[in-house]
Amino acid sequence: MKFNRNILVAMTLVMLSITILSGCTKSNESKSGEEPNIEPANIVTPAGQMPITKEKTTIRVMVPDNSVVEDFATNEFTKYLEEETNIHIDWDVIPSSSAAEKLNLVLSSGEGLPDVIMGFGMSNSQQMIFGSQGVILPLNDLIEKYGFETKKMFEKLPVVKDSITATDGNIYALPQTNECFHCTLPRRMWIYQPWLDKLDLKMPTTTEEFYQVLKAFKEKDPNGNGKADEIPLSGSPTSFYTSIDSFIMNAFIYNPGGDRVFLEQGKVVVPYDKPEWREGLRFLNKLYKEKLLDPQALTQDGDQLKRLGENPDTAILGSTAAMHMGVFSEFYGSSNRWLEYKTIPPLKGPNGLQIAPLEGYHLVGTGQFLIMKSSKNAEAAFRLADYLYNEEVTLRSTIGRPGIEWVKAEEGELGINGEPAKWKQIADWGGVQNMNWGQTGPSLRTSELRLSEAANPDKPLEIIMYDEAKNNYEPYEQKLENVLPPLFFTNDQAIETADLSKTINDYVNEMVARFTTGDANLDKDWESYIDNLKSMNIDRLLEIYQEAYDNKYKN
Amino acid sequence: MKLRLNKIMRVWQLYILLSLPILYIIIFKYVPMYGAQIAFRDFTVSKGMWGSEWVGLKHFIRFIHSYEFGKIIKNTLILNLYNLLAGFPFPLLLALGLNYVRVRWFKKTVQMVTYAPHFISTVVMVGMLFELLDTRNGIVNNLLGLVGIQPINFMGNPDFFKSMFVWSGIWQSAGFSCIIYLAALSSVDPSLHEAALIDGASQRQRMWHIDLPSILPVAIILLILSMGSMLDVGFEKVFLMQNPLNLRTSEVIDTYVYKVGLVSQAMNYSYSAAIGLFKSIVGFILIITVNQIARKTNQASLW
Amino acid sequence: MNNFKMKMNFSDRMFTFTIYVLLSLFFLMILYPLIFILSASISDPSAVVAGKVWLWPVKPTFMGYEAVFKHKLIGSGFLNSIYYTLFGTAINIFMTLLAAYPLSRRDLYGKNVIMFLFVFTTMFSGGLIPGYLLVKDLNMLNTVWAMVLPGALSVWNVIITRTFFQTSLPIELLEAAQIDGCNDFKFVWKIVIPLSGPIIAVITLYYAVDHWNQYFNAMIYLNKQSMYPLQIVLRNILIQNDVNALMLTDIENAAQRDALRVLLKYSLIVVSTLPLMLVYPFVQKHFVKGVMIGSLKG
Repeated sequence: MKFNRNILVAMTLVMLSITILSGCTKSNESKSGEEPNIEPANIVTPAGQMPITKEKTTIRVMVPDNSVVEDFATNEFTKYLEEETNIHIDWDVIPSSSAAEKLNLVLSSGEGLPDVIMGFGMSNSQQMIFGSQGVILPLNDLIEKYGFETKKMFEKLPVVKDSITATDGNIYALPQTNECFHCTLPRRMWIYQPWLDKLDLKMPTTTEEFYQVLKAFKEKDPNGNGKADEIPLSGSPTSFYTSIDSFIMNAFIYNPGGDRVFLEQGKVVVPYDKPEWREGLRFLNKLYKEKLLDPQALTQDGDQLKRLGENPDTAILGSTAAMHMGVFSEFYGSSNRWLEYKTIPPLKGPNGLQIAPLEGYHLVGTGQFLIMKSSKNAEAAFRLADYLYNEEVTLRSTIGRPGIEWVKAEEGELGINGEPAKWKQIADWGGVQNMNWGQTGPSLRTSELRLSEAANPDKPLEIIMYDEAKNNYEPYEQKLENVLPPLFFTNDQAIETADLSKTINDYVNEMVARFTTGDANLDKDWESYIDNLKSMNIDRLLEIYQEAYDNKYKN
Repeated sequence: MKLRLNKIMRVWQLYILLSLPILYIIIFKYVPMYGAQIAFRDFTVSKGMWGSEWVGLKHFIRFIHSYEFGKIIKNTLILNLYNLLAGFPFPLLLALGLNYVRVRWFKKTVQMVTYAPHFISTVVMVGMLFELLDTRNGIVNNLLGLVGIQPINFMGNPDFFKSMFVWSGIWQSAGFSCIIYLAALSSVDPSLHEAALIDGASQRQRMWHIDLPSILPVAIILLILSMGSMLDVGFEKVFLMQNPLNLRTSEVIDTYVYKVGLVSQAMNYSYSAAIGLFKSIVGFILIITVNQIARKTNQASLW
Repeated sequence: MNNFKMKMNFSDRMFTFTIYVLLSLFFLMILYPLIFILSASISDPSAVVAGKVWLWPVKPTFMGYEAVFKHKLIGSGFLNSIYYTLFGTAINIFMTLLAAYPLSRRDLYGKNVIMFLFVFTTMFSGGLIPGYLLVKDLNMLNTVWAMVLPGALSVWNVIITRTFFQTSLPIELLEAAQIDGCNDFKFVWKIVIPLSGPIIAVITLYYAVDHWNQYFNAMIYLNKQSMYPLQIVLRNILIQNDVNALMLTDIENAAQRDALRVLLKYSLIVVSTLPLMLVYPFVQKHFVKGVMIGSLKG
């Protein structure tokens, strides 16, 4: 009895104190973000003109810490910008590992808000939420009035404007546009060329040929040490594009990877409940059963995969899916094998299908520059962002100073794409520096700009990537009309899709692994697999995607 | 009433002592508690706490109705119970053993070294675990091979996940957790041991009848307290050890919430707060229940 | 202690032997990975990646440690951490003793209620945002107070301290003191604390470790680099060498940074743990038996 009474007393005290205290604090909390928009004190010069303001203007920019930028405040590029534009930036740098949390904390406190939030990659949904609550400024008018460089960018790359326009027609954030050609075709398979040579085999072109090659790797001892220690095919579920279905499935059915959602004549579909997917799994299962596919490919992490590639003294890794060789071996590593792996063009499946998945929209890095509604210098801030899309300014922002970090190319120098080069990088960077912004914030790197960089044989990766992508993958690239563009979900849609897609995607990945190992049987368990997908509400997931797609693109 | 006042007045100095800690608790713990209501609202940063819409149990319902709810609760509970039951004896045994040792340098060295793994970062810990259990080169499989057993794919088998998680955890924390027991043991009155020796007790008997009971109260209190975190599992370690093959048994509440938050573009504060509150409520009920049991058996208890 | 040199019989000797063997096995099981970490931290990164490092370092290099100690904030990071740890732990011990002793007294009226109020806070909390707003409203942002006050008391530690008091302070001690006219304040100061060596050592260790490893609070409440504690600096060093495999332009440099990162994983553990290891012997001293001897007789 005493116990009960004490507990009761205690709980009452707790409840009482919480109620009282919350009443006290209620009056203390201020509402955030509702401050009147005052006329800019400084007149902003017309579009395209420098400096941006006649008098020096200060704007506060909040940015996450960038590991390669020593100090934004004293950075050379920042100084250049200030000279040119007459805008002084007050930096609010947030440690990057919990940048999103800290950002939300600052926003929630409602005071001391910056003018600009830059470099956070805020998601489309969040932009819409903030936008609809009037926390951030829609930028459409500013673009109309001052978007000198921005409009040029839209013209060159219409897909950019599409990607950043929300379903209510507003543009809430400016992007960082980086058209990396080879990054659009990242799902590749690499094979150890010396073994092909040793066994006198051609580069496989069909799934059947690939199977034969793997068998030869296993049985014919290509590394010549008398032991059957060769691992014909491996991978990893967690590293960059190294999952076993990433490359191979595309010989059976279009597998875009990630959420695996794509478009078929305007309709949102997925591949993993189709009979062709089952056939692909059968192929994987065959490879697994005959010990051509490494069981650890389904469980190991990137480090273990790298250990295979860098096996001391003798090569044991025959092939693996990956974006580039640095994923499974070491650049300039002691084995030097990284240069000996070559890409396999997409394999042709039994039905003649041969596809290289295309990341058609990846060039737009959304949510890179947002202006707070409470800012008194919205126009100046916008013009600053707009200026960042200028080609020379972009080079300064991402590489450094002309004449010091980069120069205009000379006559006769060839670019990465083999055409005459326009510019050349002359400084070594990659570590911590203070000359550029380390790819933070808005900038515009078109494919043309990137590929017109003078090819440097001492820095071969970009060239190799370009060549392999262009020669082996571009010919088979998926048409853009089948690639799902970025969507803007409402908060409710985002919540529903999050729950459904997390569960469904995890399940699909789990079943790919289990069908491959034979733990689940492709004949007996396929039906229950489909049933499970249905009970996980896959129809509803596709429905929401379709709604969001129609809302944006069928206008 | 007068009796109660009397009771209070007699120990007034104790209340003075308590005043500072209580002040701290009120300011730093109870005042911010209004924030717990975030679980019952659709919190958006821009609207703040009071401006966000009140939605009652919406987030709780979303959690309970999610497809994986049963699975993650089951995995979380089983993992924690396994951890508790398996992990409970080791720090105790280690403390008893160390306390028993007479050779000073041995005792100090072993103590110091075994306390170190606690500080190894989770990333490195899991990396070492993977290497140890590697199907091709791992020590464990090599040893198994010596006695003729085929290599076992530990990471690929969902049934092994819990054991790997728990035993590596015991390895890592036993040395650190036994410290509190060592402290308790060192305050055992040596005259008790002397008396027992005179009575002809063996080492084992002395350990069982004197040492063990002296650390049992602490052990029980810690056990009761750990009931409160029954639905908490070390997120980072589970996350790093997951892969598609073992996901069935390795998906726990915290990894689920994390992944949903990652996939979702929406704001997730309220949802994670609701789940946190859910975990707290369950843990709280467990603490009260186990505490009651401890009281009934006249062992140490929280209150 | 050794007044009774007893002859151990056979079963006792077996028992002793078994205990030494078991402890030694456990010791080796722990020692090996620790040596591995130490070796890996000074080995050639390629060897580490290729799995060539088993026990001893392969092609020793101090790159990892150089990178750590070269960083401009490493000195201030160490100093800040030492400062926060010393200051914070002192406050912690003070507060914990203040709370634990009264709660251990059977004659404290309402002790169950008060205990409940304490335990309640371990289960339910207001969350990140109100906590942040509170610190901000108290003007503690970017000050040392944000590092030592929010965690000034750990209820967990209060409870184990209370348990210690309950089990090892005999009631006769209190009664004797009260007969002598000693009030509670004096009792705590003159008798309880001197007899609490072991438990104070334990909670000092627990709190100190906590402060030393503190990362999250610093990240949320501190903006000035000069105030960053060690863990933030170390984590930054690691991140600086983070190679985003998707965005590689200069791979030679990227390869170097990646190699460094491999070493850093291990050297960071060593750097941040070594001070704690060095502190431990001082704590161990207090786990000495016989603290209670003479307390009753005196």
